[in-house]
Amino acid sequence: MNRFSLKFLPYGLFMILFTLIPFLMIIWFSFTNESCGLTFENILKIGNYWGVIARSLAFALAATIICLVISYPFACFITKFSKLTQKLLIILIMLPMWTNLLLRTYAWMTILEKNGLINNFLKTLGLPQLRMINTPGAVILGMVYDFLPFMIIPIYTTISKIDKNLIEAGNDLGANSLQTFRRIILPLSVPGIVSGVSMVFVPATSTFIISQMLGGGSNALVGDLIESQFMGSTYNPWLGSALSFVLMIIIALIMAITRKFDKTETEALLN
Amino acid sequence: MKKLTQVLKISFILFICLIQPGCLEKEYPNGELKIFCWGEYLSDGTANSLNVIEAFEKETGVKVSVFSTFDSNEQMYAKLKYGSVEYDLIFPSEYMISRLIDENMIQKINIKSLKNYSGVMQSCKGSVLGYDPTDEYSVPYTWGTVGLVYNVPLVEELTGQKASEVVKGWSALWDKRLEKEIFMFINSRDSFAIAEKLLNFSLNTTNLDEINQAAALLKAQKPLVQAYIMDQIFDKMANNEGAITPAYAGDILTMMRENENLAYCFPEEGSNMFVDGMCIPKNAQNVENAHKFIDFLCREDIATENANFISYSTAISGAWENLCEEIKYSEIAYPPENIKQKCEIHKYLPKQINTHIEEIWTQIKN
Repeated sequence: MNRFSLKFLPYGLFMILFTLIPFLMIIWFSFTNESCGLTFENILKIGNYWGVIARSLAFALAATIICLVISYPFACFITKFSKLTQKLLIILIMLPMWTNLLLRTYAWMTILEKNGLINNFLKTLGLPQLRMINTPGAVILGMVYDFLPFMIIPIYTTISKIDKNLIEAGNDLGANSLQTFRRIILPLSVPGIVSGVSMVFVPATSTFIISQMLGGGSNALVGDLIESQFMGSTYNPWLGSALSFVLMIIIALIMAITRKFDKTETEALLN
Repeated sequence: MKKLTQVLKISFILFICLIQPGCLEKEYPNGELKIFCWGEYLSDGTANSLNVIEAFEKETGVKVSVFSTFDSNEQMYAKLKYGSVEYDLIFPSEYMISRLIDENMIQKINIKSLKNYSGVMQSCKGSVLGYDPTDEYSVPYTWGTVGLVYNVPLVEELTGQKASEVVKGWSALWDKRLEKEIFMFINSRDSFAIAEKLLNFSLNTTNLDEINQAAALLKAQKPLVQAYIMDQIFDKMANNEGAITPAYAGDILTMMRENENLAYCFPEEGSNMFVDGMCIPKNAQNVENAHKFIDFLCREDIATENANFISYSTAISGAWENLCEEIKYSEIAYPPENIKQKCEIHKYLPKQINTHIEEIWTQIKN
């Protein structure tokens, strides 16, 4: 026991210092005001910003669904290649993540702009131009692009780890490819889907900058709102903390429901 | 064992060097200076300009050890009040200077020790404009007005009218024909100032009814606005991404240099004039060096370099003489007296009014 706790000490200290204490500080700030008095004012003020929170959740949900729809077939597709090609493809997926997020988003700005890459291309073809920049669609596109690898990789990992014998056994017992997929591959890849969903949905809900750059400042998300409470012209860390706190609770609830739903789903699919 | 002591010795020496500033940097015998400044607000050596910071370091032997930038007065205020770095020199705008004096966050500057102070334009001083009644807390650096910049071919294409007839004042920002081609300031103070001028109110109004009328106007404008932005405006206007935007005079000159389709309009309803000054925070540790830097920026040749580079109007009268022709005779940077008369400066508003404006602005934008 002693040896165990000694080994745990650095991690424990790290977690206390950089996870627990900041978390408690957020809670403390959420329920106090400038003069350190206890108050519910910050939490009540959030009522004015439900629209922004709802928008963030809706955009994140849309981005997550799009990511899932793109990623699942793609992940299956990758597993069909030789080990070496698989590695190469995974590196190619990770490659954009080595570039700064700001830079990637900025690139999308120049692609989507009124006189950007796409519209210039349409122009040369003589087609009508599209209004893409500074719309909700552009923000969701930015999210999908930035978070796609976080969906592909966990799904790919679980699918590639499925025991080939199980599939062969299924085939031996007369299952066609659709049945194999529905009864073996899909249920066994649920853990990958769940972690992919949480790895996309959670950062997408609280993301900022993307909406400022692609949404024109009028499609603000809760992340932008929180940022402006700390860094922007409205300095109000108390409201910022309250927003972060409420957002944390909402995300935790949603994740809990997803996990529960997926557990029963996996069992139902396997039976 | 011998090796180990050697390693220990070397690391000890290195450690001493690290904690003792100056051991490795003999070049700078006169200490350091920490500056907190607007982005792109000093000539920085790009495009054949003078690197003002390097020139200062060479001349005075003072190392500029920290140079951070901010993009709004409020952000600067928050970092100054709650941040961990203690700056020696800051560049707030006039209403923020009043606030910092009021909250006892900046110290008096020893004006007498500044050799070049006599060159500071009278019309920019705090005592004349009222933001620093005794002129003891700030030295003006630059000034300017807020105006409109528009894309002539685009406005004419959208309205079928001569652009200079469409864009006469702030009302052009509410022109339905320019729908989704309008950009607007992202910060509350500048946006409310526009709506208030359009309604013929003072931009320092504390009358809640007037503020709410301005808010209603801004809300009605929202469907017409393509984006609320700040620094991205340069690229957007340069690439013909929108038809019209309000902007600061110095920035308008920069934009017009990059895109010849752009034209300037001073709004007939009147506008805002601003002055950015230099101040020394209360907790500054290198007060003497801050004085040196202020004096350096007031020197005519340095002020000329800066004004040529950033295009903002200089507050040093001697510097104007030597500016490049393009800026020197520009009515955008140096408007005639009758235009200046139509401008009002921002004053520091009471806290509850400020918070109220911020809150409704966040709700309008979203």
